[in-house]
Amino acid sequence: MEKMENAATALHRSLSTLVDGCELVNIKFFLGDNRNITADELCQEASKAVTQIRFGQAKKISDIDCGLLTFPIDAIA
Amino acid sequence: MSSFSDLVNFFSAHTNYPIKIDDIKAWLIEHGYQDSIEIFEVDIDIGITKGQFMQFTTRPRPYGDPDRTTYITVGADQSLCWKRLVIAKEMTHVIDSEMTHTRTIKDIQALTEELSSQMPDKLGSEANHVERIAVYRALSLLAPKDAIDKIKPRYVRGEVTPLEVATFFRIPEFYIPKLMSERYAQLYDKLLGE
Repeated sequence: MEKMENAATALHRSLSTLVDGCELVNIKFFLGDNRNITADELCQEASKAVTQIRFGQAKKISDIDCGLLTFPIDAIA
Repeated sequence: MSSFSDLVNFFSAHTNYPIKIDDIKAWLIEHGYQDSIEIFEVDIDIGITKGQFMQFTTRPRPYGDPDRTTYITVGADQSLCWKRLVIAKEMTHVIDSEMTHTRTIKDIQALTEELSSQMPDKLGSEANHVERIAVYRALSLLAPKDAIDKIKPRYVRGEVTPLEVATFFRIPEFYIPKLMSERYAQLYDKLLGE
């Protein structure tokens, strides 16, 4: 229990200082395929993501669908 | 403010696919749900978590209204289809009601404990419940039900494969049988209304 509290506390602390003067409103997670995980692991992966944003190691995506062609529904229906 | 059903109805009117992620982002900002939404690709273990949603208020001016900012992180080591679904799912949390927010250390502990323990839905919290329906909310944006219904006859006859449908919408093939199921059709209205 203590280890899990530390991971959650560390995540909350890193989120609360990610942007100057920010206050955390909400955090959510998209679970992976490995369902045999701990709460600790979930918090730690989120903390990894926050650290990468903080130190400029995360790649900001401006248009993930860049270059994707679109087709009318009649193409498949 | 518009509800989630307004968002779905807007994209249901689209006639060309795939639905663009940036269009969903633009709708949420234009309709006042957030001041900014930033998306980041990160190096994380996607077996544990494929991505996260992080929502903040910041106060750039001492006496001004707070800015509302969302950061969405998506694991780099996955296909475009999965990245699109992860980002769309996390964006739907922008419309979550305040009672479902995960805000404090205690909230984070509770949510991560529920998510990792695979508790049945009926025992879960509101925060956990909204996590579970958010994927299907995202799918209802990326693969609108009207479009799914138009394709269903050919799908049922085996004239189009799950992979072909998934490629058309640019969503993971894993979800196509679920979207084509009677169960999804039965739950759809409930999904929009929650």
